[in-house]
Amino acid sequence: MRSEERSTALLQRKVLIVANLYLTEQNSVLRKSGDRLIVQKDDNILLEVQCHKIDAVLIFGNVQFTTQAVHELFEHGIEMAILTRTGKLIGQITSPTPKNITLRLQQFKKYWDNDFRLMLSKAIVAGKIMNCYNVVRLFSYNHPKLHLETEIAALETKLEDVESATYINQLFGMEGNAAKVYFDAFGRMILGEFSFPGRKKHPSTDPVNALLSLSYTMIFSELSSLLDGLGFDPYLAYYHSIDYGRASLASDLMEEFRAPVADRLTLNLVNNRVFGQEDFYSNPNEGVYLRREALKRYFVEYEGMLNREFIRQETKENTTFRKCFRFQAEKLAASIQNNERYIPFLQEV
Amino acid sequence: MLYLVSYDIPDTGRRTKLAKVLKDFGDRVQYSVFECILDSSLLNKMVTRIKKIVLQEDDSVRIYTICANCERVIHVIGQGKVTRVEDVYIV
Repeated sequence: MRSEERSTALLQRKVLIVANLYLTEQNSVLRKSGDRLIVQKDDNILLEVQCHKIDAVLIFGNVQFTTQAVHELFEHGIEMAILTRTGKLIGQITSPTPKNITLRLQQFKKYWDNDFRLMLSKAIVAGKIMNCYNVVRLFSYNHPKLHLETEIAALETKLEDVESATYINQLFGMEGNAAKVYFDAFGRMILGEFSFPGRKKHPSTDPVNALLSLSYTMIFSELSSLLDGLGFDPYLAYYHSIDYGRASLASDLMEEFRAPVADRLTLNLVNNRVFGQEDFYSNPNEGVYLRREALKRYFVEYEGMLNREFIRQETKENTTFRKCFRFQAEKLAASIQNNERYIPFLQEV
Repeated sequence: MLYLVSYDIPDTGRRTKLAKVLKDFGDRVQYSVFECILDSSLLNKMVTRIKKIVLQEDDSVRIYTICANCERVIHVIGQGKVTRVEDVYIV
């Protein structure tokens, strides 16, 4: 009886898997009718979908929306992210759900706890380097001719250094050094018609950097609305400085996911020739971006990456990156509230 | 769970009203047949809203539950396909 109940519950959870809605059609309008969202351009209905199937709406560029549609989104607890046509995050719209005030109080209190901040920052940086190390190691295993041994060994040393850090500023330096080694290796891992001149942002000067920047933005946007939803104040961070004017706590949580999610996605897209040079364009500010049709294909790939199932060694359970985002955010909450040691997400290879 | 909702309502006003409600829960696959992928709370919500519209003596609405195994062996002859959960919507 009990196992029956559990399987019913599981089935129901499966039904509740909800999708993101990406709106890229310029000058289209997001409206509502009943409990449904309608995307319309001129007199054509491009999409009609029930609200209960949608988890988040991401709006790229000049897409209008009606106030009634926003009311409906709030009612269903759907998050909204507003981005430029090229994928720069402008802002997010969330409903004023009752925030978890005890978590916030603890979060602020812990900000003044230097030991806690150092412990968490070390975990964040170690997690990031560890995952970079694993990405390079896995790639090297499949491509022994690239001879990435020097970089792998260097990353291992940088990882060991982290443990010796006694204040946060030291970690910035260590993280920077590791990133330099890692992106050197990453450049060599880019095969085929593309090359990687090193990490360049604001704006991205080449297709690979454009894909990296876009992927970081997508993850950042998911994490900041997730943190907000769980009751955190997303603007108060422990590792990243808080005067940055944005949801720094998402930056904290994002570090450990950069390499296994965004960087690996970029590698797959480029090395498997999902995109070619013709899918990108340069704008007058010398930034390189995906063309709109290619951007739509990117979202399909991004969603595929985030929803792909794998077994997490830590729990031996089937999971996805999207579930891991939530899992880590909950761990962070537990760490803040119960002083538990924060263990970052580790991509096993 | 996939539910199949079919109806027979002689009054045009009530029929239109019901179709409007069903559109909030699923996809119209035939003129008076909807396929809805719902969890139990959404199902309850739908039933409550249907009950507000139908007249016991004149109308008939039938909700069939399609179990996961049966869902896999639905035969479609002619137009249309079985409603599926989409992973992503891109416009």
